[in-house]
Formats: sequence, structure tokens, C-alpha cells
Amino acid sequence: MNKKGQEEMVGFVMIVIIVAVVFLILLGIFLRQEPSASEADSVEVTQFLESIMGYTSSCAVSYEPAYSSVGELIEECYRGKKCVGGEDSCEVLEQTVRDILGSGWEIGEEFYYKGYEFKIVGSEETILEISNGNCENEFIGSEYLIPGDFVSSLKLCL
Amino acid sequence: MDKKGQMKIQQMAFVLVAMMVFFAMVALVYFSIRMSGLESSAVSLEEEKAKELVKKISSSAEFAFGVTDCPNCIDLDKVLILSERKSYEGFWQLDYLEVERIYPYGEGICDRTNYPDCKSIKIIDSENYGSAVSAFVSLCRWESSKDGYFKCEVGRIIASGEGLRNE
Repeated sequence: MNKKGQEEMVGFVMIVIIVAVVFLILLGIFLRQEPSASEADSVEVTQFLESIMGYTSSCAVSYEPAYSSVGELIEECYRGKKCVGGEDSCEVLEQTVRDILGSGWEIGEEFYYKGYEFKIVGSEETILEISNGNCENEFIGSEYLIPGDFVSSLKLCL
Repeated sequence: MDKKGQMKIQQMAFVLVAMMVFFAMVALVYFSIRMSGLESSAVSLEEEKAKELVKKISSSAEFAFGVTDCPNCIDLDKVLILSERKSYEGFWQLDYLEVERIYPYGEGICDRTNYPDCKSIKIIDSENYGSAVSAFVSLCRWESSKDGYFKCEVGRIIASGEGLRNE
């Protein structure tokens, strides 16, 4: 009877182990396949970045009215050039992008997007970094390649 | 012994049934979560497709800015003239079509008296239209100050109607 009881217990333990293993495998598959919201790529953000790069800034490097677009201004900033009016191209770039971001998205605790992170990166260094609001949770975002080996990216945090 | 054997078979049957029920429940939970994920990704794909279609409208000859090689640009001067021509209302099979300036900020509906210091140009404006889809674009126009130059701003094109679904 004692031996039989032991056999029953071994059987029970084996069943529990099998069930636990199967459950863990299913859980692993589920966690691996579910796309994370933090990695979601957004067409809207790509379109927004593309529009920003086409915006005509108030900075002309050679003569007025040959004003640079934001895309061109990134390269001017990288090369440390000044506008005809004497302003620093990087300052104009930052102010312009900041203003466009402020107009393009409603950001705040009461809105759908709680914050954003905008970045322009060159081959070696970060050229511009602007952030606003709370960006601790999930986000949608996208990257946009700019001629001259620059990459702009925007994350909108939920 | 016969009774004990029956008991054993019964026990095994119960364990098997319990295991089947357990696996069925796990599978149900798993598939319900997967299905809800699929549904939301299908909705977001639909939205993205609609945004691409709106973008396609903006690249048509009536909107496209041809001065520079800019697929994302809309010729705002053309759009203003287009809004005055009622013959285009059924052209894209849309119930609503609007071009809105986002930056710099403007106010009011554009017409020849306040252009370009205005907010939006309505090309098609039916009374009843469904949910609208928008896409960001660059709004380019001729700026006559400082000897004249082409200036591009940030805006969006907003559309609604059958034309978006039939594309």
C-alpha cells in the first residue's frame, strides 16, 4: 500500500511537471510573438518628419531669400555655419523644430500623447535633441533618413 | 482486484479529462489574446492604408508642387484656385477634402482676401461625411516678399469618402 501510494505521488508530480512545462512553453511563445507597442512604427510620424524636413526656415546661409529648409539647415548646423542675419544655424534649427513640434501634436497629461522625444543624429554625434512631457511608458515612433548621412527620429509617448 | 483495476482506469480517465479541460482553457485564453491583437493590428493597418491613400491624392497633378523634386509637397496656390472651382467636387469621389496649415499658425478659412495668412482651404465640403483621415504634407507656395521665393510650411490634408475606400 505504501509503495502504491508512492507510485501515485510520482505520477501526480509528473503530471504537474508536464502541465507546468507546457504552460511555460505556451507563455514563452505568446510573449515572443506579441509585438510590443513600444516598437510600433507609425506612418503618421514618418509623414510628419518628412514634412518638417521640407519646412522653409528663416535662415539663409549664402544670401536672402535663399532660405534653407530644415533638412538643409541640419547640414548647415553640422558644419557650424551662421545665417546671413548673424544667427547661429543650430539655434534657428532648434527653435524651428521646437515650434513645429508644439503645433503638430497636442502633448500633456490630459492628451493622448503624454510626451515626445525628437532627435537628429549624424554619423558621429547627436546634432539636436528635444524632449517634452512624460516619456516613461510605451510609444509610437519612426525614423527618417536625411541626405548627408543624418537620421531624424520622433517618439510619441502614450 | 477487478474493482481496483476499474478504480485505476477511472482515475486515469479523470486525470485525462482534467488535463484536456486545462489545455482547452489555456488554448482559449491564448487564442483570445492573439485574436484581439490581430484585430487591433488590422485596424491600425487600415488606418495606415487610408493615410497612404490621402497622401496619394496629394501627389495628383492638381495638388503636386512641381518646382522642386518633392513628393511630399502640395502647391498651396493651386489648391486655393482649385477650391474656387466647383467642377472638381465629384472628381475624387470624396465627401470632404481640406488642406490645413499647422505651422505657422493661421486663422480662418482661406480666400483671396486673407491668403496666405489663414488656416485652411476647403476643396470639398459635403454636409454629411464619415470619419476623416489625415496625412502630414508640406504646403509650398510663392512668397512675394524679399524679391520672391518658394516657401514651404507644415500642414495636413484631410479627406473622407468613398474615394478612399475604393482606391
